[in-house]
Amino acid sequence: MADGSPLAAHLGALISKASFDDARLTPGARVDLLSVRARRSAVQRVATALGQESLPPPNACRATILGDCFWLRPDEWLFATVPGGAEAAMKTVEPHLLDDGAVIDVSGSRIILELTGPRTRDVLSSCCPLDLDPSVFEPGRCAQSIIGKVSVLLHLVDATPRWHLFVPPSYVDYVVRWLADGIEGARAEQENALATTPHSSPVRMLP
Amino acid sequence: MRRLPAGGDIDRSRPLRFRYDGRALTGFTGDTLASALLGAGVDVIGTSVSLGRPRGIISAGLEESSGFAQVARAGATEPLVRMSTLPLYAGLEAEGGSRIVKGYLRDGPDDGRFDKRFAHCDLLVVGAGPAGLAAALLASRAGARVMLVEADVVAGGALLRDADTVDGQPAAAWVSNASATLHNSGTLVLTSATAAVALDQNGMIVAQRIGANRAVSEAGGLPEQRLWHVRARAIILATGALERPIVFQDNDRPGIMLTGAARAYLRRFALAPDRGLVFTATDDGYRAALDWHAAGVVVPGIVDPRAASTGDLPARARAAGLRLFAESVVEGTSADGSGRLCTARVRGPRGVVEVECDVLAVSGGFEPTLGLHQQLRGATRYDARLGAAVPATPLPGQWIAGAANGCMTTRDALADGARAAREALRSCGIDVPGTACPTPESPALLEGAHEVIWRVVAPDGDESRSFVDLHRDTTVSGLVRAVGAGIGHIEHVKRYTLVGTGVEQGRSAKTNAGAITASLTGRPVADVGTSGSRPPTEPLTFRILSGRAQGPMYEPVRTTALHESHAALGAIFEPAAQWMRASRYPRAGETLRETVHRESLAVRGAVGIVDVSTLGKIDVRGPDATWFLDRLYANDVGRVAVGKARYSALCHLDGSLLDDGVVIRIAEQRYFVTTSTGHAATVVEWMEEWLQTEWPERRVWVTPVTERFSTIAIAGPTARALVARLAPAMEVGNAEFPFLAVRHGTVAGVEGAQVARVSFSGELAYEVSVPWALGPIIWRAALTQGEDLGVTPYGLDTLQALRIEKGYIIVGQDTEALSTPYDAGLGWMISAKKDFVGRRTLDRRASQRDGRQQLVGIAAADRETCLVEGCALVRAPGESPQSIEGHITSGCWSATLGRHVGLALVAGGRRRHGETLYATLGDSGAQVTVVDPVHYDAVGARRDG
Amino acid sequence: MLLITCPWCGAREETEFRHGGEGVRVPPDGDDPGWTRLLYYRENPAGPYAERWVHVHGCRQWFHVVRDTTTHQILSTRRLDGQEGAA
Repeated sequence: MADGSPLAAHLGALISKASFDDARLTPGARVDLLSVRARRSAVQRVATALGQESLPPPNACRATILGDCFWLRPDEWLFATVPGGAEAAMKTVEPHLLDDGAVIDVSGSRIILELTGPRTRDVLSSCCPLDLDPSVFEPGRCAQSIIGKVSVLLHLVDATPRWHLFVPPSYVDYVVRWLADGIEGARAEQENALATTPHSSPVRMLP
Repeated sequence: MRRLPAGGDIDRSRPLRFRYDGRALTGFTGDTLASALLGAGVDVIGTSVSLGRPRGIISAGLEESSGFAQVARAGATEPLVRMSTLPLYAGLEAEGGSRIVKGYLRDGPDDGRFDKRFAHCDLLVVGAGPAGLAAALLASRAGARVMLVEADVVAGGALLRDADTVDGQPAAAWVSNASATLHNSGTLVLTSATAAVALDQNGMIVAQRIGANRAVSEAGGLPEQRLWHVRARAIILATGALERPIVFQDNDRPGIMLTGAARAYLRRFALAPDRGLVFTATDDGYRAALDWHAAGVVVPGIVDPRAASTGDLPARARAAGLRLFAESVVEGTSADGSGRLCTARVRGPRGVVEVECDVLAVSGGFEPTLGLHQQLRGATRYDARLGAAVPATPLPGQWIAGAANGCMTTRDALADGARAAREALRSCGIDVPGTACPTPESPALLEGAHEVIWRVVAPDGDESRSFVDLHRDTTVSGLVRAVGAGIGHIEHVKRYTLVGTGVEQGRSAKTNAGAITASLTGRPVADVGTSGSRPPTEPLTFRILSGRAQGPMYEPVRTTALHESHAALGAIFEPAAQWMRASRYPRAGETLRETVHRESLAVRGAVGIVDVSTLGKIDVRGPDATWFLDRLYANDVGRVAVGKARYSALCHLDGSLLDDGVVIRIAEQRYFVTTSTGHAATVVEWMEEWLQTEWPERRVWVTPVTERFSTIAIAGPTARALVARLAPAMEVGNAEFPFLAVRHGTVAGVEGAQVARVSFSGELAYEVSVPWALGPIIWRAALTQGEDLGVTPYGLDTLQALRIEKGYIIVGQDTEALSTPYDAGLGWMISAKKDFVGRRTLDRRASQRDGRQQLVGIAAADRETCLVEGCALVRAPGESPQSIEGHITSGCWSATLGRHVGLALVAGGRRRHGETLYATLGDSGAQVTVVDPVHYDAVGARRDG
Repeated sequence: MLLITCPWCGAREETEFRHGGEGVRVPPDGDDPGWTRLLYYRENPAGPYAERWVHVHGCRQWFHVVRDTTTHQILSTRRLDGQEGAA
């Protein structure tokens, strides 16, 4: 971690060795994280304070003045704000909560991994049970699910597709290994032109 | 059989060399292992499992109950691979012999790549025969997300062996066009993919063989096999029908196969016998004779138990000049020296004829394949016309189509597939325009009367050679014995005779087994039924089940932010829950005990530091936070002042201990709660459960923050001096910063650090918490600035020894599932003033009974005796039977006390201090004395100082 | 393996959930035999069974499930406040 990367050296080597043009894993941007808890009465006040009509509905993400805001559960939203921005962001939100909510600095409790490329759906579907088909999982959607055995927050940033995975630091080693292994598998499939999902290309069936 | 000079779907220009039982053989691209063996003249593939009889290939597909091989893979071996669906590849190495139906595993790891994939679709079609293809084509045209899986090497199913034309094209061409159309429209078509396990709510586990060509697999890093975990909104089971053999004497000889297999080997693999006899109870069986005849094979006759059939196929056979044995049966066979079929004995109205033949094609009719339906307890009913079970009602979200649904002709199967697709898609809200469905050109065949025949009674009465289940060597005699033993239920017959317990679950044996049992017991076949089907439909290797979850991908290994710091100090790690924790920091040449000894004395005599970041940490806040914690914790945590901490415990509703930990009040409405390492997630879930289910109106917010903070404990008589150096701006004197006080300030330059005076060692101690990634800063600073104070990093082993000396429990280790706070010596903490979860049960007499298992300390009499956790404690070592008084829960070498001490749960232990018990260690037991759990510094002067 | 419809997140694999057993409410008071029943006795019917699950790897919400114990069919899932799920 000494070089400023949030990944340990052995993981950095692992992902740069595995990644290829169609599926690339990199450490995501550093962020400060806030958990905003709000009962129904406070949700609207917070949304208005942020210039939004409402906070994101279940399993959605929206950009706000405080950074990306993710729905986590009926009374919790996660804000990913600029590094060092937690304190200011808390001051923006806190006055509107009164006694109907709380804002907790949870910076550092999750690290962002970025996964990009046309083969990434294959990579994710090798370890994540979600339906990530573009017809049902569109840019701007997020979902909490599992990679292998551990909880992650998955966000489809754009249609590249570009994914952000929010992973607790102690699970990063495990998650990166699964993703790197999935990338290696996707590369082998591409090189062997094996059809795996309707979205992989090019495709050819093996006998 | 012999290979014809032309024809078949094999590529004669691309021969493939392979080995079978050590023999070098050659087949062709497009062969299966079974067809390659037959083409190479290997008719006898091995011997049967218990009787050692020569056996051959009996099918060209999933019915196979004889042809299984042990197949070598790179560095490993796979048992029980079905030859009839294993594509031949260059360099394939397989073994048959007598081990073929048992299989074996090789010692050592299997490094092959086995993959897993989650998949989702609107419609999953299982089976790519006529019904499955018709369904998938229709659904894909309607724009649905479709997946089509086929167990065989190629799509097509029955179409591949039938000469029909579909939509004006030869069947085989239609199949390949259909596959291409599906593929190009985005349908995922998987071949060599067996739907093995039906999951609830429309799921399916599909096992796919990808590395059909091992060279591709090894060179390209492709997985050898892949497990698909499929979820579909609707499922169509178009699993087809299997041909049923007929049971007669010596019906297991190599050369006897099913009529569908005979046709498939001819059409797909250009394999033909010299003389092929047919024994069929249905018109369909005549196709084999007609196909052979057309290919120039000598057909000595067709044996049909029925009176002359009026159907179209028998008429064609007659027109071709083939000899018909009407109202006749094959009642036995003979073999040559190697066991191969030579003749069949045909009994008819005019007596017995011996007919020479090298292949005998048999058909007892076709029956639906319903394993997946039955796995989820889908109902079936007996269809007297087919003599087999057909589906009664499909399960919710599922449709059964084609031959699996009893539609046995190509025409009916195509139409039924389209019907099922329409209904299935409608259930997903997808409308299908039009009513078109693929149609075969040939007119429907007129069929003769059906007659169901399961067995031919042996003429000499010896039915110990009339095989019902070839894979298990179960004979009619075996069924007779079962029935004679009073067994009537088909599931009991199965277990008594092993019929249907083979790798293929007796698919081709169970209808015969049920029907013969019925005839032996004089009951209707419908009443006896057949044994059920359980997952998986096909044997799966353990390796495909474990998949990629191996090594570091098997179980998450969590490390703290200090992991590399520990490693740099030469730490030895051990797993604790999912965490890797430093267990000790040995110096060169030190034994385990010497290391723990040195680390313990450093903490007791100077100062030690330990990484306790794995402790669970929870942020609890809100106007009702105090009320909430008071309701969950056993003592008056609500009366803790801001800036103070309190040790407390949580109980289940039944009064048993759930966890213990420290509750710190950060602000009026804000708490920081710690849990033991193993209970971090449990406690958060526990809090959420109560808040959501019982007290939703309460304004409390619970946030797990374990990985927000690294925590380092600094413990020992000189800890204060070290903390004073690390946090020069902090008042650390005992008066300003007493035991159980909490301060926030700058430590080693890290702002906002939390310092809590809590102790798990019994020494003067400070727990410093800073943001996760900054943990190493504190660690390094403590090591550098404490050098002259004798600062020593210590691990889990020493932490354990220190807490055992002090009688500090770990909930779950020093407690049992039913241990209450009273049992664990924590009765003092139970508040007399308030209600909390568990209180009501704790107040009952039974929870405070004298004889309960209570926490005590134990001291070993002998200096060298280790007190092993889990060891029973008895009153006298030689007694029989032993009366067990309790067990050791924790034990350690105490450097401070110079002997082994431990903690134990002992019946009524609190009143038994001073008593002698024996740990069941060694031959004579080890003597221990029951003492107070607190072995060291009973008044706590060191901790509070 | 079940597919469970979380009222908030929609249909998800069983591995994302934890089973909470029969959903019982703790009575504020009641006699001792009643308390014993609450602690140690469950209905365990063959057929529809009202139980609670929590979406531990998702939104962490508890919810009501009616599951047929003989077929594993899930007859309904509802939020704790009784409302139909939005998902």
